[in-house]
Amino acid sequence: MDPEILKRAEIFETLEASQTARLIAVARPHRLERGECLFLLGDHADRLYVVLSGKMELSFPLMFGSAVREVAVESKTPVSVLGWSAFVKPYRFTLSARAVEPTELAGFPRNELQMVFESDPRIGYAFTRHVSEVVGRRLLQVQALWARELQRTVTSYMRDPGQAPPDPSPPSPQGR
Amino acid sequence: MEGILLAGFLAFLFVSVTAILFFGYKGIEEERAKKALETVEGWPDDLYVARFLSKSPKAEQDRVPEAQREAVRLRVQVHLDAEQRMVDEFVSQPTVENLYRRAGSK
Repeated sequence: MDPEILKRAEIFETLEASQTARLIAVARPHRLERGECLFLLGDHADRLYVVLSGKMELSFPLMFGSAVREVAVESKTPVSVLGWSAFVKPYRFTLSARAVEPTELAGFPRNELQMVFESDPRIGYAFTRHVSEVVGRRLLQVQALWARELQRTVTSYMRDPGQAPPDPSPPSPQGR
Repeated sequence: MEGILLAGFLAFLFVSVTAILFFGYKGIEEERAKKALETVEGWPDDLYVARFLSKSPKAEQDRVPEAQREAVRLRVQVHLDAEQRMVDEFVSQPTVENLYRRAGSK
């Protein structure tokens, strides 16, 4: 695990060298082969990850007929961070993460990071500020996607007032 | 004598027809129970990931060709990628125009 790459991660950009070193000390290396899953939507989230090399893809499942397929929403390349859900209750991953190519990551366990934050609150503040920026950006994206989808539905109703509202749930099994 | 033979023949006929109807009915009920069991046991394992979604019978899964499923998935992916680009523009500059801009327009 190359600490020089880690130091370029966005969560470390406002920290001093000594503070970055303390965080790097709790990092754990992870290696994934192409197609290997890091975590699934709904899994317990107990660590944050920084991509060191390769590429990760974030996705969520959709039903196509009766089969489930993952649809990609975001890619994570080196020095980007994923897994902020480890710091936001209920500590469950809200997307699935899979390696698009052989990938190396550094994993930061939440409990060990929290010990570092308690010993130096400035690190905790910088970290939390970054997490809130990520969460805020994701909220805006989802809000905009939802508004655009809702606008399409309204436009469709205006054209055909008798149209039934779209049902997002997949067809249920016969006899149930 | 003839009366006894006739009565015996009629009784045999009655029992035979009753047995045919009984075993036929039993066969139909067993078939129905077997189909219901297949409906429950045929749920594929990969739906564990999307366990909040309802499950469909195996027969329905087999009817949709994989190529068709993949074609739809690709269309959804292209649509989502275009929407994400529009939404990223909105996030960097939140305006009503950017929010409802048509995907692909400038």
